[in-house]
Amino acid sequence: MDTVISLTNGFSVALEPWNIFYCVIGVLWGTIVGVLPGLGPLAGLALLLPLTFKLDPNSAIIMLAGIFYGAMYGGSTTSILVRIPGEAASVITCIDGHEMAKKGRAGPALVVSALGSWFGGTVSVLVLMLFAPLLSELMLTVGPPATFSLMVVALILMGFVGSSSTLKTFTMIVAGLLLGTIGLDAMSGVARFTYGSLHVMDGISFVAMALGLFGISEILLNLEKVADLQPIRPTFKSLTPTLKDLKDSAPAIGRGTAIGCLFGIVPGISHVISTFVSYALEKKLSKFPKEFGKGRIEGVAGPETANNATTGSSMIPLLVLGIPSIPATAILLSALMIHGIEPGPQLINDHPEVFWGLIASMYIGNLILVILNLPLVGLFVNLLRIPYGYLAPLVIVISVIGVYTVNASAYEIWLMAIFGILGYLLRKMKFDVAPLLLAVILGDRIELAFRRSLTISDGDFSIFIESTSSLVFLCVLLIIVMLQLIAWLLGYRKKNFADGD
Amino acid sequence: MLILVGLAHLFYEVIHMPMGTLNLPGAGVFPLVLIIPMAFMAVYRISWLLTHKDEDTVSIVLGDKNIFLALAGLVGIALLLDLLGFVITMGVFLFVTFKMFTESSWLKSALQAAIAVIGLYVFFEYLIGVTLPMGHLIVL
Repeated sequence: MDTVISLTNGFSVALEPWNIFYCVIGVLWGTIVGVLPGLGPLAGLALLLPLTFKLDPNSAIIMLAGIFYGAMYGGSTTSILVRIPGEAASVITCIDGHEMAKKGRAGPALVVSALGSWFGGTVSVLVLMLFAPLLSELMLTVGPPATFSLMVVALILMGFVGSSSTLKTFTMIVAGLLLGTIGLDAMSGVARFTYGSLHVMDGISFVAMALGLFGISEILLNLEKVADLQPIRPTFKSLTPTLKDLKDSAPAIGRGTAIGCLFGIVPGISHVISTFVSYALEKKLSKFPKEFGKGRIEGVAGPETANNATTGSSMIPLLVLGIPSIPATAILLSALMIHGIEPGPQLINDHPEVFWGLIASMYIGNLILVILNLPLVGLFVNLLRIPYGYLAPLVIVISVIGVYTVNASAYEIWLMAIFGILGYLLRKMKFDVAPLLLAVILGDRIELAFRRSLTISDGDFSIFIESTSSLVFLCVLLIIVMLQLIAWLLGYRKKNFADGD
Repeated sequence: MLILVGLAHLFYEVIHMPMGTLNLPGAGVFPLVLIIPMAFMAVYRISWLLTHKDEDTVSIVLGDKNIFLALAGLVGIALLLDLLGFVITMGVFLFVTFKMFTESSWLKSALQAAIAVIGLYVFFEYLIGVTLPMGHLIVL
């Protein structure tokens, strides 16, 4: 009953005209950045983050969440019509989606993708709505030792599921944690690695880092290979899927939803992995596995649903534990903190209007996505006609505006440029930069939890195993490490550990 | 190798930070805890690269014209934005990059840059409410 009342209050927040407006802007911008190759959800969020500083927290979070799930959907359009994934989670959709388009069945692929995205997204919001309050109550009882152990589990898990080799991913995680220590120490006020500069006293600007590592580096990578795009243009008439299409894709959508909801909670690149798992499962369960890769609708329905089903469940660790499971949610975390809202177990009690408003807006936003995207698919495809020579400078200018507005300082632009070059070089060397960003945002909190634990226990390290909840997390950690070790010893990851590319 | 040199420097910095006590760890403890595994990973990677010289070589062409132009543009923006303001700095940046990236005529690039910069200025300054720099020189 409490949930129904809270959700009703959430809808009263989300249905305010300005919040609907920001939700529409969010999903539209999200779809645009998802469609355009070279801009993903992260760059899309980072670009608009500084512009939300003047909005009230509800509107800001509603708009940013809209960008997040809008981009997840937008990426599929280019995968299907041009065979260029708008973002990483849409890579797998290219395989069967584009094959369907080549056979003149782009319409059904797009519709099934939209319906699957809507269904997966909506169910995952339901999962968020039901599980987040329960988990939140549970987490209110745990102290700094369990918080520390939980964050270590998150980082280790991130290391093992990263898209580059394990060694490279762990290098990025430790580098991120080190970067997170720059600035004034939160407990003692001692300046660390600041070299007397006032700019870095508050730490390295997260917005500049995110825009540099993902936005600028992506532009630099794309400037190397500017290709002419030949999109396939579906007509509005051809959008209608047949009854067989819907019948074939329904089970795949159901399984994709379950996979996405489950994987969304895992830190790392869960939204990408969930699409691969979904595709593999569909192929395995299909009566016609050999037709996969030649335009099977299940190969589109499953991964696209899984991709969007991670959006809601990935909010659970973010809102309840304060741990972003994917880089895009790290931006949302940063936005919440900028607006004075500390994500964690107390969020639901302290800011119910933000939590329930966000949930209600996600129900509305997912519906807006379907309503807007199907009729406007032609318009979005036309965006691909813009030559990259125009797009790249415009994105750089918008990035500069975004980063400059943080502190009205050119220092942020320098920082963004430096991280842009760093991101470009790292990505050329096949390092995944997402764990670096996630580690930066977790860095100070993991350190605080570690030091507070030792202060509570008077320097006794056994506090980490004496606390029951901490012990549970450490056991999970042990199991993960053991499983990886066994896999490595059996040789499955041996090569991957070495070069992993 | 560069990482190892950097880590050595960070290590030097860290040992000059307060380490505190076990029950009240100081500011230097956490960075020190991180530098150690980082150094191990760097050494492992170097030794691996030495034994597998041909297997993990990535060529990075830093001389790419477009990349150089984009980066030079960013540096130019960082240097001139406060001085010349948004409209002039971005106008010049867009004009040069449009001209170079799309190989359009000078006049077409100038017109496109002017329209783009005015459009962006109106959108961000008036519709979004972001304060864009006017430029110290322009104000004077």
